[in-house]
Amino acid sequence: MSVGMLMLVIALLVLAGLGITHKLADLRDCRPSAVNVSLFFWAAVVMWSYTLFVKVLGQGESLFPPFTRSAVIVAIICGTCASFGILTFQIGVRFGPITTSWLIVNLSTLIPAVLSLIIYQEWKQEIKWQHPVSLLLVLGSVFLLWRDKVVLARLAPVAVAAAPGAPATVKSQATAGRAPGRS
Amino acid sequence: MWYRWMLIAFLTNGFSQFGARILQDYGLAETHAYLYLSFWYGTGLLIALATFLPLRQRIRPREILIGGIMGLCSSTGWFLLTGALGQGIPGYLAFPVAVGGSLSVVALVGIVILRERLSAYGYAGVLCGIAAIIVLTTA
Repeated sequence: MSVGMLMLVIALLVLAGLGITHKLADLRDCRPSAVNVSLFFWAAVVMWSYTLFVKVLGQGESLFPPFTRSAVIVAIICGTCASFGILTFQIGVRFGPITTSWLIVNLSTLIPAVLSLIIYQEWKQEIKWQHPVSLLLVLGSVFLLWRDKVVLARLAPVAVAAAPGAPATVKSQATAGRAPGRS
Repeated sequence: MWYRWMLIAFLTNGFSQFGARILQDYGLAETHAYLYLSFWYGTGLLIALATFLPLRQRIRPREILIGGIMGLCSSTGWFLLTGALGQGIPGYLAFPVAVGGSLSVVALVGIVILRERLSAYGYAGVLCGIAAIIVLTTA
């Protein structure tokens, strides 16, 4: 196995580990806002250490310019979105399975693809067949996952709530006769 | 409840990735993506602190540990993926394998180890979603 392929396989496992630890945080009763702070703190430490020690001090690369104020503003806006995204995902994963939750977050890669088509008018250059096909598959997937939640909630609310990973609030709702995940 | 939170996560996570395309438009994607991500994570930390500090609570050791693992997974995942591309692995192979593969591993762990229940609709939805991501990343 080549070095590149080995790095790819480890990247696959590391990204899967990210998804699994999201559910682990729920199972270990971690608070979403606290986990979010820890996640961004350590990731920022890694990235800033690499930037300052490897790129600036080690390789003597110039930062400002070429990195402009506009690029910083974009990073700030997108970083804000990311923080809210991970926080809401952490809250939401308490009410549903990690299998489908992690899928939905990964499906969001369609948003930058669609925005690129519209804002940068990439559709004028070419529309690749993958874009409409993946959009249809995403819509189909979202519909099927919605049906999944409806079916499970109607068939066996207590059984679903008693499943490993279901939060205490859901369990109490189910024992009180209400369907979980449908407030 | 789950669907509402996931809808917000879907939208915010999607918009957070669009910055990479803007960076590409500035001609900085290949040379300064690390600096972009430094500001990206730094801002994320400030927002996370802004939502946590008003609660006036302490972070528990297990939250530091699990959040730390997540942070390391997130940042090292990016390093490894770009490293694999730098070693000559083509993008049309790297992205579908990394994203589609991680989805499959998470689905496997969810169903086999955590014993999460899905209906036939759920399994079909997962397969449909994995197919969508693999198709998209080959574009």
